Amino acid sequence: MKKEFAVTDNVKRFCAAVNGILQAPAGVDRMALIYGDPGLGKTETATWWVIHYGESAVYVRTKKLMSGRWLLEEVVAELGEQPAYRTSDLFRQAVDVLIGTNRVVILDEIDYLAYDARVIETIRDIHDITNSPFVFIGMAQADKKLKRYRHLWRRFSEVVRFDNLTREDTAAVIRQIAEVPVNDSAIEAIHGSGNLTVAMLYRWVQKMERIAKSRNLEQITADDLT
Amino acid sequence: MAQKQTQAILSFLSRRKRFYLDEAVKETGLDRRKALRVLEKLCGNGFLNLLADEHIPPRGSQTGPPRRNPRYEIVKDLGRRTPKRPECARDKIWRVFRYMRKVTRSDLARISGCSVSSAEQYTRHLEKHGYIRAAGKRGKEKIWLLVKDTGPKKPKIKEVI
Repeated sequence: MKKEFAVTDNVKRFCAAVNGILQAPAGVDRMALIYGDPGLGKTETATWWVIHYGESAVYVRTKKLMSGRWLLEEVVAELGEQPAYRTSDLFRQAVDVLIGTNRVVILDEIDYLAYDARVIETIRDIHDITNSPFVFIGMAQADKKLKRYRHLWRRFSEVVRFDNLTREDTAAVIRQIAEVPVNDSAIEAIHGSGNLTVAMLYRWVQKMERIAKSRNLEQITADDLT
Repeated sequence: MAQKQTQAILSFLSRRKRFYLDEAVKETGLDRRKALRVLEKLCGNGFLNLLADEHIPPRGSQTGPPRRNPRYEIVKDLGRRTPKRPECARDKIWRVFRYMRKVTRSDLARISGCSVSSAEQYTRHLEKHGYIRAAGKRGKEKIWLLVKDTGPKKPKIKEVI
């Protein structure tokens, strides 16, 4: 199997959203929300994007028990600063480092913070003061949870929902990573097997390559998969 | 903004060998807290040595607790501060570990864009020094779990060849 990151429709829309907030003209808020069911590759896509296109970006995975101070501490540490002791100093540190820069702050599992208005409003404060791009990544119902905060919701200039893979996505990913040719019938069979995630496709490709090797096949068809 | 503070402190340090925070604040005109933050970072990176941590009681109309007034000494050439270099394969692999926590070597190669051999070599080093641990298998591949997160910078591992 080729060790390549599969660029699906979801990945393209993620990149478009992040580029959208990065290049937003003055006056346009720079917040994006990415959400969707588990297993669709949201975190993986964010990681891939940071490594390849956003070296200075900051990624923070939020936790269920996180308070505003804890979040600020993690953001400041990720920004490469020594976190201060007092919350007010932490806030100033985060603002000082982010202001005037284009450093993207990615907050994963944002649903965990959706019940704490103080934390959510603190993030909004930092965004408003620094005008730094913020990307929120959440689970399937993240949009509904965040809509309650009307002032925050208004600032999302990009909202992307990660969907299940389409047939075209399935075909593109398999052709991109498989080292043996795969017939259309096999792609149809894999796509028809249920709700597919990219991780499942990697496993399918591994399986197909094993079959092709053991049976000495030149091409994989649907019959070989049964 | 943070860069300006660092520049101001560095220009002050080019003229002094030993100094108090008070002197740095007076000469640079920076806010006391911001100057202290830069000096503490330089101290943490081994360029400065903390000689004494004195306290000044509030004067005149000042209120609150006594202010810290540490005394520092330059112990390493500040000109040797390394400029930011582009990320190497190991930096990228370390990032993937920190963001995803549980990954296989294929995941590392796929997401970071590094070669499988780089991923294999670095995971071996990280495992040997206790930063990651095998936690089950996915197919024939081991799943690696990050057990010691040392922050955004990859850990410094001494390699014995």
